[in-house]
Amino acid sequence: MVFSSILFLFIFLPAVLAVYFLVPKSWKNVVLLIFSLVFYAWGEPVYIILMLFSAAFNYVMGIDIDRKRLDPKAARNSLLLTVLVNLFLLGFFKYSGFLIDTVNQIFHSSIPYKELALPIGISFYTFQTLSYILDVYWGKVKVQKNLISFSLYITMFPQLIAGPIVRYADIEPQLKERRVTLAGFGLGTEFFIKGLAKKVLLANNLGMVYTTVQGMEIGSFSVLTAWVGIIAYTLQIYFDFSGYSDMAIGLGRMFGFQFMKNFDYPYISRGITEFWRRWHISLGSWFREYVYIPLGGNRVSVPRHIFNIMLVWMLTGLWHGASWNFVVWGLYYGVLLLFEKYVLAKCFDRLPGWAVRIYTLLLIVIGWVFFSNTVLSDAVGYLGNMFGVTTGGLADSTGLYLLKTNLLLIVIGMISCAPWLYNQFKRLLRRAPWAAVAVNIVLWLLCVAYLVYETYNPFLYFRF
Amino acid sequence: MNPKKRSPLLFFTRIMAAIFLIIFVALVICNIFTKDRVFSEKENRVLASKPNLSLDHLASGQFMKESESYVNDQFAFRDFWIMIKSTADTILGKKEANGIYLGKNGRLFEQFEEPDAERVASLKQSILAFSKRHEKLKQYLLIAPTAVNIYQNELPAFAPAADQNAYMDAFLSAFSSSETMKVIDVREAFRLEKETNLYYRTDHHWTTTGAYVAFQQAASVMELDPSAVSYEHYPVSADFQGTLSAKSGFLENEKEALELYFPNQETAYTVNYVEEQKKEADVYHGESLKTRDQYAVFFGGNHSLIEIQTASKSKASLLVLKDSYANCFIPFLIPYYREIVIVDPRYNYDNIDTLIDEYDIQEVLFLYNANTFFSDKYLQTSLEPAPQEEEANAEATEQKES
Repeated sequence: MVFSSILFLFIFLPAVLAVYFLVPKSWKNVVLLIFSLVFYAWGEPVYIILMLFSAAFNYVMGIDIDRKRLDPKAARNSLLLTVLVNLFLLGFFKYSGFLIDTVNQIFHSSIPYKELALPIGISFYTFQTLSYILDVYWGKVKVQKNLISFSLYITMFPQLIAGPIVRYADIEPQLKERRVTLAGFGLGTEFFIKGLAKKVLLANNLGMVYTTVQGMEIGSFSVLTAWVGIIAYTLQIYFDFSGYSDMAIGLGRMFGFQFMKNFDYPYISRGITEFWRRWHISLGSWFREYVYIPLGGNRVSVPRHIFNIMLVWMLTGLWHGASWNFVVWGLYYGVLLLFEKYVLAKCFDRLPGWAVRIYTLLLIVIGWVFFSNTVLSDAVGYLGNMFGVTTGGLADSTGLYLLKTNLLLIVIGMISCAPWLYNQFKRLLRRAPWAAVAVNIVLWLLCVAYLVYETYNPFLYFRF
Repeated sequence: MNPKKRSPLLFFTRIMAAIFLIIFVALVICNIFTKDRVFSEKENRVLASKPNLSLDHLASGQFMKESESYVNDQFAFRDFWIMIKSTADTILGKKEANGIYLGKNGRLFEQFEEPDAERVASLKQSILAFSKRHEKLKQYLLIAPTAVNIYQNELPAFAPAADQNAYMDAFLSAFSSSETMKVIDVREAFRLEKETNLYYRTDHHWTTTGAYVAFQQAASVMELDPSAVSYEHYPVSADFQGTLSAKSGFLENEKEALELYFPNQETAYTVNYVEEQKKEADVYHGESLKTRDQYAVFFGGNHSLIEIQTASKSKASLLVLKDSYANCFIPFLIPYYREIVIVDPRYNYDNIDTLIDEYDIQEVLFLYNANTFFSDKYLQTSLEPAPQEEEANAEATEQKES
């Protein structure tokens, strides 16, 4: 099930809210857990078994590792086993096809394999269980002995299928004790509506532009068309992804949970380093915490540091999907980050802010070309098309048409990428709270209208 | 700010929570009490009905998919939400939805899509072959341009559209030297008559006026005397909303007139809907004017096979292979033929060669609009030569006749 659907909004959500607020406190976690399982089973009626196994297995292993606290060697063995099983499950369902395919290509072999449908959200919940297991092993968090609480942490529907990746340490106290107030609930609805509007009103409409462009033969459309397409995609993926995160945060808030911010106006960044501090923050900090720092981080020799960075970014790329374009996309960012750290950092101070921002945005947009074309040669072709390697010329009627009919949408999108608009909203809120409420209600009704009559409402994270 | 004043943020969040919950509960209750609809007049389509719950459907996810479209389709005040969405789209400057353009001067256009070159080539071959096989028959080919062709200049600025004219030219040129197949090209006449309503603004069909202009062109090629019958025309409906507005959501409140042409000199006739086994004395179905699909006033829509027997003095019988554009055109032919046999290959899988023998046909008219013609999959199949045995019979009868 996805949040941006009538079924979720008007059947599932009312049901879970009603039951959740009617039952006594001690039942609330059970209710959330049951509804989360229904939520997941709705989209993955078969793979729910996998998720249940993952929850049970990590629950048991957490206790096991904790018990072996006094015997470091045994604890380490348990940890290794747990991490390997988790990674194996992720690898088996997500990467086996990709791996065999690559082997087949290199050795011209033809090992047969069955393309498995990727269990939705597996990358998110695997990373969550890993954060728990590692933190237990390092003694950073107390072991969770309550199976309900632990399972709820793994399966909680607001962040189950598209993040944010909540670290166990951040949410542990809330699993036991959390307060729901009317004001907190209201804040949740505000977040939720904001996220829904980003997804339904902006992302879905922008997505149609890029889908149109992708339907054309690469190398045949005009430079203008290529740019309109990729700019629309750049906006789409931000509004889609951050919209999901906002909805997750908002929903969590309605039930009394407080999740961390996942996006912080990434497109206003000065530099790629800053971009990754603002984009999908929970993923970046996960890799930092559980891969980069254990590898030695930057407190190592320069060559080792370069290796660390490239490894982390290759993995980050791969996390987004099992195909080469994501690897290239990750490595691309690895190289850019290194380049920025060792070469450009000094120049940035001397350049005007707008120049650095344009440089950053340009690189991000190029990155999305690799991200959105799962066939690597298509990505290269599209990039060529953007810079004139095309039979379509500089501009054609298709490009002008796409630009003209989506100009307002793109402009609204661009404005919404910066904090300015939301700051205006906050000012309005202080001066005339009623007007701010009205804005939200209008947005919400618009979203409902678009969802009732939806023609295009994709779920972009089925590869994650 | 006055610290004693209540905090605007707290006020805001509480009001948000309250209003959100109120609207929420209201909508949920409305949904519980909204009766399911089978058909949406506005969208002109059947709405999803309650899904079947079974273990199979649960495991395969079928039940979930069906539930989602069910909930969407049966959502309370659906038509109202659609109206809001379309309005928002218009404000955003959207000019296209579901393959339909919102043109200037309030006219909707169905896009002409680049046809599949191979299919067009093989369609051409099979028509040529058909034409050659039936040298003795008089044959006519009328490919009607659609609005996107005649009113090209009213398309939204820069709207990409494949060039219908180029495809028509290329196709028709194959018949320019044909002795047997005569082309009826109405484009020039249509361009001259552009100022009249040749097409509906909210529907993909030509108007009866458009059909009449086309008929006058056809008459000269088919050697009929168009002045033999004069017509009076007046609207029979003023609230026609075509399928283009239903499909796109554009111009939803636009209502237009639907006109009929009534001859001053009546020719008596009967219409026989073969498959439906129904005989009628009129080609017009007045009751269709009360439904959304008012264009069905002509013959009640498309049928696989219709026979019209007339009291015309003519001895000729005509076979029409057609799409829905022919429905408002055929009434003009009634005075000139003893019998008109109308076949819509999309619904009729009979072999045409066999039909020609069966009905003793002397003339054949192909009448399609360019959009359906170039994307059609059925015509070609029906034009294949009759199976061996019957072909032998056919030859035998042909010889007998001569």
